[in-house]
Amino acid sequence: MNPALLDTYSLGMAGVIWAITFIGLFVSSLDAVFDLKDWPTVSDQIGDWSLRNPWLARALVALLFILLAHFVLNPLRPPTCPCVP
Amino acid sequence: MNPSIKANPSVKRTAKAVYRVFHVLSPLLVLAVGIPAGFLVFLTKGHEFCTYKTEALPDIWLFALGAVAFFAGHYFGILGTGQANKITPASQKFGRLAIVTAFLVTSLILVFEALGTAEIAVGTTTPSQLEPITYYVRCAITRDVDISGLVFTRLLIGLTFYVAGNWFWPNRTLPAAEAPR
Repeated sequence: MNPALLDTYSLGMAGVIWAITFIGLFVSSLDAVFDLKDWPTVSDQIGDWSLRNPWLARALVALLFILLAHFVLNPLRPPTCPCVP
Repeated sequence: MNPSIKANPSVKRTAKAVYRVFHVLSPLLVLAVGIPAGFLVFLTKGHEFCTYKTEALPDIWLFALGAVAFFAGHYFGILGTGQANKITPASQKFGRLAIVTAFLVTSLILVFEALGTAEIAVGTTTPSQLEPITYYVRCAITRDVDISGLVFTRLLIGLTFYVAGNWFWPNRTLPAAEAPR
């Protein structure tokens, strides 16, 4: 792999983690503000959607558990890299 | 709603207070996990390509942790039921926007997954190709064994499935605005 690209690997991965953190921070901050103002929180809104669409919510939960099982229970073997000739 | 909480106003107030404190502290919790995790990855140099060892996975306990967190999210949600709130046109609009955004992001992730899987099927030989998301996730888990001893993996699985239990299996049968107060 290009060494110049490798130099950015750690920074790029850290950037991805911080971006996800920012999304989590945004949503949880909104939730806190809504709770303090006695507005319906994000949990309330999505919970209401789940009550109106129980089968969709169950499907979504099933998908999450299937993904988790796929990620942590699958006995996959790593590829034999580096594969650059 | 749990009858003991409904019958005893002081317990109900305490439960709501606990739930509110948790809400207010949750942004700090997100920061406490995300910022150090990013720094740890940033400070760990010398990673040439994404690979993983086979010792760390499969791990049945990580799956069990997700299941426990899911039930915890459902049952902890009982503290927040019966909370008085006001539905406004703006809040309804925000709710729809949140759901549309969630499904849009999910679709984009699945498109990426499809592209990664397709590249494997084509048989590209360079290590810079796109890979299925599974590859990155499993790589990250085994890297986390080295970085933090699986602390961040456990936190992420716990948090994700706690939220899923809280959101998609709400501990109430009425919409939030109509729940008993």
